[in-house]
Amino acid sequence: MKPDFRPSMTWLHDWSGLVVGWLLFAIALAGTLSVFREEIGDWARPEASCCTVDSADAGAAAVAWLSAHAASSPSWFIQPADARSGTSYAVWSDARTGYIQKWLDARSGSPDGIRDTLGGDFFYRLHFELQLPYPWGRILSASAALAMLLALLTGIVAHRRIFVDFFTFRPRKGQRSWLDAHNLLAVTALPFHLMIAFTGALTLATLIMPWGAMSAYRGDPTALTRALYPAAIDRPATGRRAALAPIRPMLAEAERRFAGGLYQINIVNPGDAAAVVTLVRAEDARIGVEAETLSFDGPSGRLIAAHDEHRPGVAIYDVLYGLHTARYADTPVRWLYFVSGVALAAMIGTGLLLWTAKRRRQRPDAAHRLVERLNLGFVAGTPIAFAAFVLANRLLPPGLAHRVDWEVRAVFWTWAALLVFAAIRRPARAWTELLIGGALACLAIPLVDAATGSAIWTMPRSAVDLVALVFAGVGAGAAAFVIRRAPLPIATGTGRRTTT
Amino acid sequence: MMIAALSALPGILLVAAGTPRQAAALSSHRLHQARRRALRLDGFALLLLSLGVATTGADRARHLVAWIGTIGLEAVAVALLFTAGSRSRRT
Repeated sequence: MKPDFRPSMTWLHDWSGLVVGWLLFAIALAGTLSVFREEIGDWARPEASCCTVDSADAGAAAVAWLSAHAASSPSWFIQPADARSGTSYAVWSDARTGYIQKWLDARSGSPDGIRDTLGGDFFYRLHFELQLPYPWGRILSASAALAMLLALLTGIVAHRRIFVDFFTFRPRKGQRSWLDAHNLLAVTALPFHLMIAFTGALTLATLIMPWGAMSAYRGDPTALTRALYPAAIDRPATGRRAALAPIRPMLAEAERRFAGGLYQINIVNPGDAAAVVTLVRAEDARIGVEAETLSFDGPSGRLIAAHDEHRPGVAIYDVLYGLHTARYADTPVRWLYFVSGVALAAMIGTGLLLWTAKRRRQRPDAAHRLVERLNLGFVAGTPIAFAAFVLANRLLPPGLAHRVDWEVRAVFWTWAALLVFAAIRRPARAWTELLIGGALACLAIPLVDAATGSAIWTMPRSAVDLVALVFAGVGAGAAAFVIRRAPLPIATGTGRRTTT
Repeated sequence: MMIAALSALPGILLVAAGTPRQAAALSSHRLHQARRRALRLDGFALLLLSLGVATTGADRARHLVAWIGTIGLEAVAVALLFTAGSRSRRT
């Protein structure tokens, strides 16, 4: 080993972590929340609170509603309600308005009376699309995942006493405490951090490294798609009208064949003689999803193809993808994902704070001040911005036009306001104020939920309120810590070194 | 899984007690290196046993993931326990 190898790795760790740290913090927090995407969605749509839902009944109701209201659409994609989600999710295209997505009542199949909200899907989409147009958000997320993997690997090399320091946390020691917290959160959940970074980059690998696949398929993306999804049946519309056969017998056949239940109903060319109904099996307790599909001729309801995926290459990809999305997981494993995700976000946050803590003794330059303000805006601001989304869900009128857009705007306006606040306010004060603001915003979630009469005090719905209360407690504790003049990595904008 | 999680905790405590800083926090006498190594080995043996219990039977992959997550949480808890322990010794 070269004598300067470890310092080089430390340098790379510092900078690869810093450059994408703020983005990774938001991605990690959004990903953590999207572990409970369906449960947050149910909380966000209290009107759709229902009884025990049967996926086949919900799927049939959704198809019936779409037949009446989206007959001219070239395709429908439906995820029927199930044990975790009280609403069915449907996407279809409209010649005038483009793609439309709606959450449908499990019994009636209608979106009427259900507030228009993204619910948990906001966090899920933000996690890898960053509210940017395709494919830029995904490319940025995948690049951030690669940078995180690099930061993790270089961090392991840089951390010389990884075993000796494994259980070490020395509070109230300034920079040493931040380093201990960073190391403890990194090392104890290291398998999770490595897995989530690697699988995160891998799930979007075709966007950032498309050349291998393109070369193998001679630059033909259609051939690649056909190879990846051999069950997809490509039948162009004939233009001849033909009613869709009753969906119930098809769903009954799928239920008979699929052990894990029904995940998706895809209908291409509905109302046309060339209609195809494809039913996709739900993921079960296995980590690797071997997607099983049944395809039916739309007008006759006759089974025309059955595909069960067993190719080793696809199976390996499915295992890695399944590990990232945690769809296989039962409730306790989901909570472990959630806690590990919080540890990941905290590790990134402490790493960002450590960057400024390490440079406290030097005279703060423009870069130091910029990092400090961005730390404030992102580390303290992101939880408040996310809380703004949840509060907007309850406070915006249910019948508001473009309600989904207003909810998303609430997040980004809050975020922008907090970044401006962080830029103009003295950091020592801003930390306290933003931490108190975050605690109040989280505390407001269960209060507003109860005040608007939307609260349903049953698990898992009330878990959203309880988790918000826990975050409020953590925010209040952190604010108290800062107020008690704990040595947060803060410098004034005047170039003086300060201890707060 | 519950048995595996419970048996992992003493394993992690032993591994932690076998590290120099935590050993110093536990005892006023300096533990000999061989004793610390023995503590660590006992801890790892318990962790291995816990892993065996976790991955016995059906649903092995999911239990393995759950076990990794659980010992991570337990390690944080043990670290905080030792922090509190060493602080109370100092006072």
